Amino acid sequence: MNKIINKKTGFILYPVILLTAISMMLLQGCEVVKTAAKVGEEAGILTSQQAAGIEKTATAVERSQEEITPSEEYYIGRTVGAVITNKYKVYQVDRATRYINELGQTIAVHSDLPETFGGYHFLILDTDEINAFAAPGGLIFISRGLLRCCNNEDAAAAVLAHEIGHVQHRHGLDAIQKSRITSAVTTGLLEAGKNLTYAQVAELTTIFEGSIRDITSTLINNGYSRALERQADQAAVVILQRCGYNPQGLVDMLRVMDTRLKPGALDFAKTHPSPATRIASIQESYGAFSPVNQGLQRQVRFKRALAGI
Amino acid sequence: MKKKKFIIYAVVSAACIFLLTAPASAATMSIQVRETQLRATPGYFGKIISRAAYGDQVAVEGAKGSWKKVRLLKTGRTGWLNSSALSAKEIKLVAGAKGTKGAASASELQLAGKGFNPEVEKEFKNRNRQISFLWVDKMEQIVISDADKQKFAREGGLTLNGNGGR
Repeated sequence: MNKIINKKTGFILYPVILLTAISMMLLQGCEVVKTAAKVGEEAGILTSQQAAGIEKTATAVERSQEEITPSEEYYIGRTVGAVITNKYKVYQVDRATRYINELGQTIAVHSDLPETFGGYHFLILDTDEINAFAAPGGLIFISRGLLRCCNNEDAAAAVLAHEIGHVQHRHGLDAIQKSRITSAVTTGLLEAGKNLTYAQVAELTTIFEGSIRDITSTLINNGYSRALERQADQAAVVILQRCGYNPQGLVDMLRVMDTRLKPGALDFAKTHPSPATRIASIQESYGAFSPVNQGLQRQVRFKRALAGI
Repeated sequence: MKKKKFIIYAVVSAACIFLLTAPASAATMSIQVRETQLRATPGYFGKIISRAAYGDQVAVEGAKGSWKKVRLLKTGRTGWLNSSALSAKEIKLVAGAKGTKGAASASELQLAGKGFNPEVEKEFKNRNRQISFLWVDKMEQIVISDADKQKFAREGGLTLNGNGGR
């Protein structure tokens, strides 16, 4: 082969093979590409370095194809929500529930992910804990303890916007161990277009249960990394600004939270960076905001809806 | 020898051109949310032209910010959809898929992509009978209408451009 295809031809063929490889990747998956890269290397057209480069690109595409679809995200989120509402009692005051849904669903329109498979929905948890959970797909749970840290609507909007930020960035799905996704996707791809056998549903359900455990243990026990919390705070600031809320509401809420968090508590005290750290990070990115000076009507409806919180 | 090189070159180039142009010409996208609305203008509070459901296909005819002007293939109606409702991947519903409206019928939705779907949720419920989905089902029913969102924004002195983020 080396004799047939000289250096000059190789020079012409290399970009051609690379383009073919990318096209094949788009249409036929990665195994073909890896094989093509190997063949290219063996034929002497590609150096081993060039071949390795193509293989690496193929692997990267393979990983992005493992993405969970919005409908799968929805089913994951429902079950995460079910686990949360079985652990906590739900606060059943209709005007409060209605209000946080009006607030949450209105500001979600201004997020970078305004539509999810099943939409955004909010519930209040009947607990003194200072806590909140965002299940993938947009089911969001806020504790009474956290709402008590809010002195005005801008602060309450900030709490909801931070959780919408977690949904928008799909942080919940990041908590799932990669090995589970790979096997779930493999099973799914093999059977695309066909009905699953009971054994396959059982296998998928085991992977599903594991994924739910990964997410709920992150949400409830371990918390996200500082980087992800910073990302959610930044998303919150952007959403608030787009809606006409003052992002200072987020800072005000964090200051109140700072006075109320109890060291060692199994809530934000354990799962989130300290309010002081979060405030510092927000101010580093955005500088200082002007004081919250909301209109009378905002304050009236906020007080009325959350009077008993 | 020259002839052989020429043939290799021609065949590979033809394959390249075919493979590269094929996906570019397909400006068809699929609805990836349960239900959405085609709007007369690129924003959430524009007049609703038509409703579209999960798996419906659209031809993309234009774009503005995070909005796409689309033609709904099943009805031929044209309007604007937010990009978050659209997927470049084709979504196939398997035979027997029934209605896709509302949370109550979510269990009837069959997803050809497989993976985590209503069948998996059903099996999860069988295995974990102590976990109730009551509140999840209830909260999914809480939907604030466009009119109520606009009223909430107006009364609170909020900006409601409805351009849907980016």
